[in-house]
Amino acid sequence: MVMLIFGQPMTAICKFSLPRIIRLSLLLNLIFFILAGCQQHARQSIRLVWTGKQATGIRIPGSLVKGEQDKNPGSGLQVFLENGQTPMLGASGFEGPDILFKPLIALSPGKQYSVLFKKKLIGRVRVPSPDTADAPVLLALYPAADSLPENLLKIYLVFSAPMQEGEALHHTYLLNERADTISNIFLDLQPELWNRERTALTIWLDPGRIKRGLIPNERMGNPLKQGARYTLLVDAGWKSAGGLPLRQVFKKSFYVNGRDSSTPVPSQWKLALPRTETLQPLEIAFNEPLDYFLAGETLRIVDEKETPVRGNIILNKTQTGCTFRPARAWQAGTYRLQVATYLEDLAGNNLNKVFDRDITVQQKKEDVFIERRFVLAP
Amino acid sequence: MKKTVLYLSVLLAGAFLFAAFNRPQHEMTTAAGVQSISAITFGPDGTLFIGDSKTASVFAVNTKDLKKGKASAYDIKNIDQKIAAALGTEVSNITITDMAVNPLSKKLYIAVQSNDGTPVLLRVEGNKLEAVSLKDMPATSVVLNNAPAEDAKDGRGRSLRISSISDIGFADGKLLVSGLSNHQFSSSLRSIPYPFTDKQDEATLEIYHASHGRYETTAPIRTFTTATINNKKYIVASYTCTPLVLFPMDELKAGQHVKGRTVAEMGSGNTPIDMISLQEGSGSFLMMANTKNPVAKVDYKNIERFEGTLTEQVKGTAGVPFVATPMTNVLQMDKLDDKQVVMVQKKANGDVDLWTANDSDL
Repeated sequence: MVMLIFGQPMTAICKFSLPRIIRLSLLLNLIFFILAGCQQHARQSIRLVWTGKQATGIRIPGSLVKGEQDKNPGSGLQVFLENGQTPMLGASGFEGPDILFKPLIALSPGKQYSVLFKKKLIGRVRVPSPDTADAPVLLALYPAADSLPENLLKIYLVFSAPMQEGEALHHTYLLNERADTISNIFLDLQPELWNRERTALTIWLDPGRIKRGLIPNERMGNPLKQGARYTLLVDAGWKSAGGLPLRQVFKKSFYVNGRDSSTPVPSQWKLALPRTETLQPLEIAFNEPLDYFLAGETLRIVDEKETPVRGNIILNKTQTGCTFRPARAWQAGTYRLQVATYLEDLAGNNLNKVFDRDITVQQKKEDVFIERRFVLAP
Repeated sequence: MKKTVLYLSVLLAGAFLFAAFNRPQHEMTTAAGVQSISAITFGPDGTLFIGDSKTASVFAVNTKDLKKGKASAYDIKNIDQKIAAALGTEVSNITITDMAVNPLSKKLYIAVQSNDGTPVLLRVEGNKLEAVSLKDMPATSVVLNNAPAEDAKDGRGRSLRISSISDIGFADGKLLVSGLSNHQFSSSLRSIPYPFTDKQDEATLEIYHASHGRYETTAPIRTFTTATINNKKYIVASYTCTPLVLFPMDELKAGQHVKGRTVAEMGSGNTPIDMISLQEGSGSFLMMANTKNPVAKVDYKNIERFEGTLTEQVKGTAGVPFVATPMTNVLQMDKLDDKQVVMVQKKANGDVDLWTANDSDL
């Protein structure tokens, strides 16, 4: 192996004349001073402090705020957004020889902050704009079916990243066949109904217009009209929690069927049974699309001893059925499909009662589960 | 020797971990665990209750803000811009989620959420904003989704998984919490004794809404207050789809299923935001802020007189009559004293101001 220095073999350098060696030494010294200078500058300049992808603090070199800092870190120090008039609230503390200013929330991407000491500007720092590669995507909209009931109660939006809250109705539109936006279609609900990760949002169609007998229903009618075609549009202005807008506009067109005023009936579901000693899935057809999230959590299979059978439930693309794939091969015996009665269809009718129950009709007893028995023969 | 020390260290660390995971929720810690602030209200002795949707918990925070104060009017123009600037961001990046006046000190607490989900608690003193550091404040907490097992025994009392807390209130030593589910269009209303104890006496209730005596539906409570009506304590609740409903407080017991009595429909296409009760002379009034409609004022005497029940038709369009005050676009509202209401209002020119209305405005 031959060692190279500046692209030349070591042996070649050894053969250099004295002036060449002096020139090389000068060059090396120059590089050293530039690097040391850069480091010194970094130590003396105001810098951002990062927590993951968020700028969560500003580090101010102690040399820039000499004086009263010994007693009270941050004394005489003020941070402003751009050239604002209101100083930011936050906590200051020592971080080695420096002062660390931590604002109450992460600094905003693309914004510049001014740091003042004793009312004199000592530096500015800009938070870089976020990487567009992290832009969020609307992964799915439920219900996914192309035909929906006119008393559709809710839609779910599922995103690839946590989104900014309180923005849903500024970016979600329902368009009619002439591409006109229909107003007062969604319920303005604050706080919005996000999952814990802030990646899935529930939007209700105004229930006041769906519920029969209520004033909004009588005056404005159902939000969706039977026989019409609509497009649900989510514009690209909606930003992720990290400040990046959606990568693209999302559109879903659908046709509106009649009112769904009946409860889902598991006894009418079709079951395709697996063979024993196999890992074949149990296939369940619902006869109608059901609520995406509720269907995922309300079904389970138990054996004769009431022990839940381990396995995975996967809904089909239109939520009209699902498959249950067991973790272990099926054994011969009697099983029960248990369905928690809070499972709903797309109109909010659950297994016990319809969304707006006619109280002049006698109500049946409410159950916690409804069961379907099935037998796997050897 | 080294091995003994090692074993002892592991044992000690294990004991600490065990203690940490098994610590009852009501033990005094700090409010550092608050991950979101959906609703706030004051209880006794400067205790601030924080409804945290993200963790489905309620924190009782000792603010140590006990000095009696004067109910001086608050007045901060462009409060949203001032809060945004104090947080180092733009107005579009923040939401004022709730506010509450400490009845002792009369200081105003404002809950703010940044669009990335970070919660912030601010206090207003002499029209100046200051930060309240949650991590430094002693607190106890209760997890709402730890529903008692008996709830699962019958279908009606089944616990609703809470994904969002719509309002909290404190009355008669009990913390009341209305929670919404993100999958079902209904709500639970829980009554939790305070100070929090090992035994939680939670009542998980399903609320029905009947219209014109014909159709009955569940609906989520958006906001509520408590009031004495005909010498009986009630929860006065308003739903996302506008009706005003009464629930007797003494029926809110564990496992109990209570049907509310709808007394008014307060307008279409509208969602209630906040509710407070005011004393005016010998009378008392309910004030309700709304998303689309002006602040509504309801005389409790009219509620007392209205004897319609859930299954009877609500007469006309309103049931109990109410007055629409001139105040529109009130985004947040709380009682400063019996004659003053502090509010955040979006004015006609688009400015969002914090100001104080007195009885002549109301």
